[in-house]
Amino acid sequence: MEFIDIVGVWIAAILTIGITSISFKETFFSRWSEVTYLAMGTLTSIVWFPTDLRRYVLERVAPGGAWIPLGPRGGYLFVIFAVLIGIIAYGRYSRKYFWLYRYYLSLSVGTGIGVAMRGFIGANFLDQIRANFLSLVVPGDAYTSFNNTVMCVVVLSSLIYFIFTFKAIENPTVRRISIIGRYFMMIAFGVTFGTGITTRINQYAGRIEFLIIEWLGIKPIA
Amino acid sequence: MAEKPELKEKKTIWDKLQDLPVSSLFILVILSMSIIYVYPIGLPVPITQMAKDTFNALNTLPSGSYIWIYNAYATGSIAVHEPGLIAILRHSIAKHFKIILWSADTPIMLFPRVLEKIKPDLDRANYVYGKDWAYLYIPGGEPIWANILQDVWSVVTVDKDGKPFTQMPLMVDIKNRGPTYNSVNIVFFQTTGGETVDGMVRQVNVRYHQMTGVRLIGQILEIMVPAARPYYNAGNMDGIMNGGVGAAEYELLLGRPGAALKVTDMLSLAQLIVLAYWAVGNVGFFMKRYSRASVPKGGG
Repeated sequence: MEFIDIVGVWIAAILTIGITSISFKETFFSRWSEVTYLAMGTLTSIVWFPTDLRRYVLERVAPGGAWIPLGPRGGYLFVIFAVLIGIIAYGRYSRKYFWLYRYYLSLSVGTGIGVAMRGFIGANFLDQIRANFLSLVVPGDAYTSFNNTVMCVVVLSSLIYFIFTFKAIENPTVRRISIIGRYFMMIAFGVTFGTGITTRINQYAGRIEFLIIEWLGIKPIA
Repeated sequence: MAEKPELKEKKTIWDKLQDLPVSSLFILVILSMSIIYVYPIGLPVPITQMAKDTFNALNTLPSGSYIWIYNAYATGSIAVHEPGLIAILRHSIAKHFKIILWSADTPIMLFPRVLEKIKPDLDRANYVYGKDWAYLYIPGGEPIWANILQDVWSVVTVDKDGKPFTQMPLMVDIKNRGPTYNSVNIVFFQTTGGETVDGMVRQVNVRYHQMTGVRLIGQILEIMVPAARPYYNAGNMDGIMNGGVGAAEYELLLGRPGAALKVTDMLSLAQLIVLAYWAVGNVGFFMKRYSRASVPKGGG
């Protein structure tokens, strides 16, 4: 391993320990490690900025030195428009020009919603309703029958929990069903919480692996 | 005026069980994870149907198919996503797929780590960069993905290193086949953000599945799986790689044990410790409640 690599491993190890120490107590060391990590992330974006500018602006405005006003890839008029929209985003930092920032925001949000809406009805609405039309009895497959029944009960009771408009919700039977729905939702939130712990442990496993192998140089026993 | 002495309630054993110091949990988890990493015991990794479906989505495609890989992970989730990417790449190379990766800046900076591990596979299968596989630098979200699938040449015309598409037979071939979606048989994405799953389902599955039969699989963090599972149940996604555990399952199915399987013992043991703490805390909570309830109520 070269000297520069050794220095890199030590810096990474110190920062890992520093950020881990926040779990025990917030200290100057932990804050410094955290801020350094954030600074590195910001620095990465800045380093890539000239590449973005070259590839998405300069090479489009004048690919190979030739100016293309309007071509198959938009040409420079579209690019200049996009760059202008990008520049007015910085209006956010000025009280005087804040109104310009709103144009940028409305355009980007509008574009995002427009693109997303095209598939939204299918993915989040129709397909989900279709997926819940399940046979309660699947001949010869008790496990699937049970699963489908549970799914139907969960979907219906959870939906009833969110009905606030009708008088029927005051009916004791309907209220009981909505309570069942609430319990199922609590189970779902519990599952999410549990998987959250798994995720964090899994992410930290990578750092332990790094500390053991690369920093301490210990080889695991196969 | 004399100060009134503070009445301190004596802590019972049940109180202590409820208030076990969190730092002790962290120390125990870190120590046990470190020890079991050095001395693995090989706890079993059961293979779920979801993992099998993810594997089969790729495995049942014919040789020469096009796989598009969008990797959007950063340093924080290397342990989860890197083994998953390596497993998918190894599988794709073994199946002789045409591979097109695309990502923003950070995954490109992390890619040499992956390349080092898959290089023997690439060499063995005589993969040539630009002809059989390519890596594109494309920042941006859902609107960009929609454009990529429509016409990748309209989004970018050079690869991550600035090499023009005109010098890459793979990209020229994609252009000659018409709209880009004609050259997309399967999309595999890796992400740590929930909006990527929604966006990919909308732009890949909903728009093109019926038209071209494109398949969609993704590796997401374990915490995101409960929210993404309805897409899998509804058929919007052909498979989900469940974080690091999913990567370990994939490695087993592929028959190429790797980095994900190495950390499964750590995960299992750490989870058991968390579970033990949870149980102890709950015992304290319920016993305290029980002991309070059993104290006879007195007057005066």
